[in-house]
Amino acid sequence: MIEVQESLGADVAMTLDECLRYPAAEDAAEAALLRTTQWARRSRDARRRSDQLLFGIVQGAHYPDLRARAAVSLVEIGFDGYALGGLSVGEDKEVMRAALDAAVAELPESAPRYLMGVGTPEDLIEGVAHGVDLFDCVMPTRHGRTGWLFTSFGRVLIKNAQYARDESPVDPICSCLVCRSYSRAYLRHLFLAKEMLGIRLNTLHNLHYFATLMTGLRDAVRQGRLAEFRAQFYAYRETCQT
Amino acid sequence: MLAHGFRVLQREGHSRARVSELWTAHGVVQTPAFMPVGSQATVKGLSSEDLTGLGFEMVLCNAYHLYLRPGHQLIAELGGPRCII
Repeated sequence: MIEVQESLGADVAMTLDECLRYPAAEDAAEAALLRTTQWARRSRDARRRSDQLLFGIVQGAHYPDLRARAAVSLVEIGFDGYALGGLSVGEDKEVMRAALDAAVAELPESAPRYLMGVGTPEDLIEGVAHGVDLFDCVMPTRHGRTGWLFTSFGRVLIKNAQYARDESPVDPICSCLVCRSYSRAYLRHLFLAKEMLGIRLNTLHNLHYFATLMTGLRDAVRQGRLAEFRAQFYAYRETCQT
Repeated sequence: MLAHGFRVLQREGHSRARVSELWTAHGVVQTPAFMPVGSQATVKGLSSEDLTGLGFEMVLCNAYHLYLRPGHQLIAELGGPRCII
């Protein structure tokens, strides 16, 4: 597995992990974390390339004590970065946050933390506040292909009849090329006609939304005003509901 | 080749948040960062120019998908996709 990733020439390679469905029983979660940790050790030992970063993956389901244990074990083995796997699999936000905090508390300040498969714009804001550095998710791209568009006032399902004659852009405060050039009515038509361009424009818009959110988060952190950024994010959603 | 690793540039006093740089063999990624998913070495429907234009510095690929098709040896011969995973 490490050999495959080394052949691929990935800049960051990941160890193999066992990810459980929610809700996982504690004994099953413990067995999965032990196996994941053993795989992590074998992955570290199998490394040949020195120009590639290798991240270990913290498992432990939604149990904070297991997450902490998994993190401690991985740090002992030693990786270039630490990923949190198996979160955002259906658990409540508070449960996820407790598991995340328990793991982050045991991880070194000097290494990147990657929350795998997360998530919604709200998850990204909370994740950054809780010390996460990297995220990935199919949400902006997959939602784009199924006609869901992210906007500053919430999600829009572009096929809805209410947009048939709507000449306004998807998000009036968005600066992406889609919002500058195309109307909701046109995007609705493309989607219903199953035109390729519809999928492409929806994906471009959604990824622009995520990129802009991350730029805003980085700026807010630099300026020490993350709490204000978060408050504005939620306030805008409430005042601009359509 | 650039030195690779992770540099924390600034911490936020009121939370655990930080702004950092992830130095990889092919470039620097400003973090916190979101990676679009391109399992088969493509973010569906977009070109790499689109992704650069949007400001993304790293994408996620699926090593298992690429191992199955087109095969990791073939990709190695061609020089690699420069992806995470």
